[in-house]
Parts: sequence; structure tokens; C-alpha cells
Amino acid sequence: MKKYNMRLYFLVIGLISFTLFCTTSCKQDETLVNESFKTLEGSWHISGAYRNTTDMIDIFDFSKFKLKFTDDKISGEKKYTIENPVPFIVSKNGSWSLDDPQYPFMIIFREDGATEDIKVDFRFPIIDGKRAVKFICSPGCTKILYEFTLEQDSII
Amino acid sequence: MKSQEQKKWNKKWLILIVLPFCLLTGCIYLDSVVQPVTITAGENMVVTLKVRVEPNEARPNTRLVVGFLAPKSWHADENTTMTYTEPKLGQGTLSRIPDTDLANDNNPLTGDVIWKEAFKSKYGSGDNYLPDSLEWIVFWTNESYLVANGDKYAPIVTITTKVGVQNVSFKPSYAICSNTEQLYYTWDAGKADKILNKSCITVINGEGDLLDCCNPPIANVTPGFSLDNDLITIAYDKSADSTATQLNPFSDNYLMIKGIKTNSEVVVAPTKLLMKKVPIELTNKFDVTFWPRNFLNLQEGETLQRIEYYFTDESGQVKVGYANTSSPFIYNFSCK
Repeated sequence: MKKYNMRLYFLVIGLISFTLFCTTSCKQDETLVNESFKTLEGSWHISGAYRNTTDMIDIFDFSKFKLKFTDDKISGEKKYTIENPVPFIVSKNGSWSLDDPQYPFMIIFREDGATEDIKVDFRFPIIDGKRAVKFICSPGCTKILYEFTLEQDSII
Repeated sequence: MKSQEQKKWNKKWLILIVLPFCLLTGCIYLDSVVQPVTITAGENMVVTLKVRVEPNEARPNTRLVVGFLAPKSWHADENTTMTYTEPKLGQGTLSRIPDTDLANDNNPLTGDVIWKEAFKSKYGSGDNYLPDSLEWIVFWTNESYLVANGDKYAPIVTITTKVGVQNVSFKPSYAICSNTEQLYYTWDAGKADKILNKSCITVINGEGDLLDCCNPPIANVTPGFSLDNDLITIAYDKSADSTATQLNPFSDNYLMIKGIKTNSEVVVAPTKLLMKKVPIELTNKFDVTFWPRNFLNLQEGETLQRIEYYFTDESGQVKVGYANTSSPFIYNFSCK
């Protein structure tokens, strides 16, 4: 009985996710798979960037930007650091969390010294066979939307 | 077939009693627009539109929608009156469509939007440069009518709007449709006379530097409105620069910037920014994208009010400034 309900649950979530994600268009080979979320831990770089409808990846240098997430299993501390910042959700290092560990829709950032959280919707599609993360944010005017695609750095 | 024809005939009788006015967008035509050549700051601009309505299908409760392009500095939403006269129907008024009444934007991502946005989405800013300096003013007839089959009407719409005090030149646009079929009507079939773009019109006796939307700008900043924490792209169009101090397109061209903070302090940029030829084959356009806050090394709590900039050669000796003067171009940071 329980197994049947779980399968139905997955199916419904999968259908909803699929419908939601199909409303966006991507140039890359993007597969939207209903896998449970693994982890953000690791080092990420920007592989795609749009300012509203303009593709920015070749007209501004995002290549040195690094966003590193750590998740200390012993202390439970989840921290992030930014190297070589670009206009982004946050500009300073701090801590992070997810609204749901397995099926997250939002990342919650809190810069060191800040009193408020910054919550951002994010998606985690698979691009060209690899896990990627997509954020939309407005570091400047709220009408100017930036969509960033981040991919993980190789482990080597 | 017979009973259909009979039904149509019966409908005609009904409509004759109720005041026929045919407003199917596919059968509305904007035949001509008469506007003055020059307009004076602070005075009314009067424009007349000749519209023709010749429907061949019945529709209930439709209104004529009339939109026109105006500089944002005119605040034309509050400073416009519109009326119409029609030989058979007499006179009527149009009012601004309230923001509570939405229009189809033909875009599943945005859903329905306010009429001003729908016109912008469909028609952009007409033939103008500096598109963010202009906005659509959209009105509809106060009265709504039953469409009648086979009728012909020729309303003349008069737009009276107060010209702002700013020196501006722009190319006006006028567009019409019906509120039922709106901007994405199905029976278009080559009847495309819904928008007319007019030639450049200039405000005289205005204040301040000329905001020229008619001619390609020497300098152009994208986005038109942004803050110092956005990425901005500044472009130099050599073909628009008719001065003797044009930059040599075959050597490197640079952007030289100074930032002015909200506390009036000046920040000089550490270096000039090398501009890129855009597109690579042409040699008369250059641009560069940068992050103002970061490039000008602003600290937390500091904000830029504006930047002042020149396009220069490598030495910085040859400088192209605003309107062929030695003054810099200015870009103010704001969100509207």
C-alpha cells in the first residue's frame, strides 16, 4: 500500500516538474529528470548567463567566478564562499540551506553579518549529462533579471 | 443556408434599433494620421486619426481601442483627452483603459498584461532609438457597441495631449484595435493597417539637452534603466558621429569613465576599458560591458548616482564627447 502511494507521489511530482520546466527554453541539451536532489556541495562555475533576453556569456567575463558550498557533517554547518564575484544573489560569504533536502525548490542564503535570509528559486536540470543549477536573480533593478547556469568544477 | 440568411436579416433589424457600430479588429483600418510638424513645450498637441470600420461578422460589446507613443516625460496618461466623431453616430469620448482591464500578450510566460505593456510588447517603441524613453498611451471608447454585419463607419479620432517641457524629438506611432480581438486577431489576412509610424517630430522652446529618439545615438547604454550593481553595456556608433573627432575604427577604441557617488564624491576609473568591435565584420560600432560597482571599486554603503564617460583612442587624447562637444556623455543610475 505504502509503495503504491510513493510511486503515485513520484509520478505526480514528476508530471508537475516536467510541465513547469517545459515552459522554459534552453539552448543546451537539457534533460529535466525527476531525480531526488543529491547535494550542492562542491565548487561551481558559471556556464551560462542572461541579462533579460541578452546572452551575456561572451560579452562579460564570468570565468573566474567560483561559488563553493560546504556541508560539514559533524558540525552541521553549511557554508558558502564566493571568489571573484559578479552581480549575483549574494556578494559576501555566508551560510546556506535548502527548503527541502530531497525535493528543494529554494536555496536560502544568509550573508555573514546579515540579519535577513535571501531566498532564491532554483532548478537543477541535467545539461549534457551533468547536473547543473539555475538561478534567477535581480542584483540591480528588479525589472532586470539575470539567469545564471552553474556547473560543477571537475574534481581533478 | 436559407435559415442562416434569414437569421442574419433578423439580426440586422435588431441591431438597427440598438445603434450599430462595427468593431471587429480584422475589419478596422487606420487610414491616416494628421499631426503637426513641430510642437511647443507646455502646449497641447492635437492629432487626428481617420479610422474606417467595415465588419462582416457580428460581435457584441466591443470598443475601439486607440494607442499612441509619447515620451515618458510627458506623463501623457494624465494629460491626454480623446474624442471621436462619426457622421452617422455623432460624438463620443475615449478614456484611458484602467490597469484592472488586461490584454492578451500572446505570451504564455507573462499571461495577460496591462494594455500599455501589450502594445509595447507587440509594437516596441515604433521606429525610435532610446526605446525606454517612450511609452504607449492606450485609450478605449467609453461606449461599447454591437458589431453589425455589412455596415461602414468612418470615425475621426482626435487626440489632445500636453507636450512636456523637455527638449525631445521622436517618431510618433499610432495603433488601433478592438477590445474584443485585441492585438492578436485571427482574421488579419493582409489587412495590416492597424499601426502608422510617422516621421520625426521635434519639441521647440523646450528645456535641457535634446533627447533625440529619431537619430542613432553616438552613445547608447543597455539597459536603458539600471543600477550600479547591474551589468551595463555601453556602445559607440561611429556612423552616428559626424564630428571631426571621430575615433579611428581601425585601431583600438576605449571607454573612459568617471563615477559620481550619491554623496557627490568623484571616483576615477583605474583604467580605460577596451571596447570590442560589434559585430566583428563591421568597423563602425564598438561596445563594452562592465559592472560599475566593481569596476569603480565602490565599498559597502556607497552608491553611484551616475557615470560620465568619453570614447577615446589608446592615448586618451582623442576624445568623443556628448553631442560633438567636449562635455562627457552622462548615464544616470535609476530604475525607471
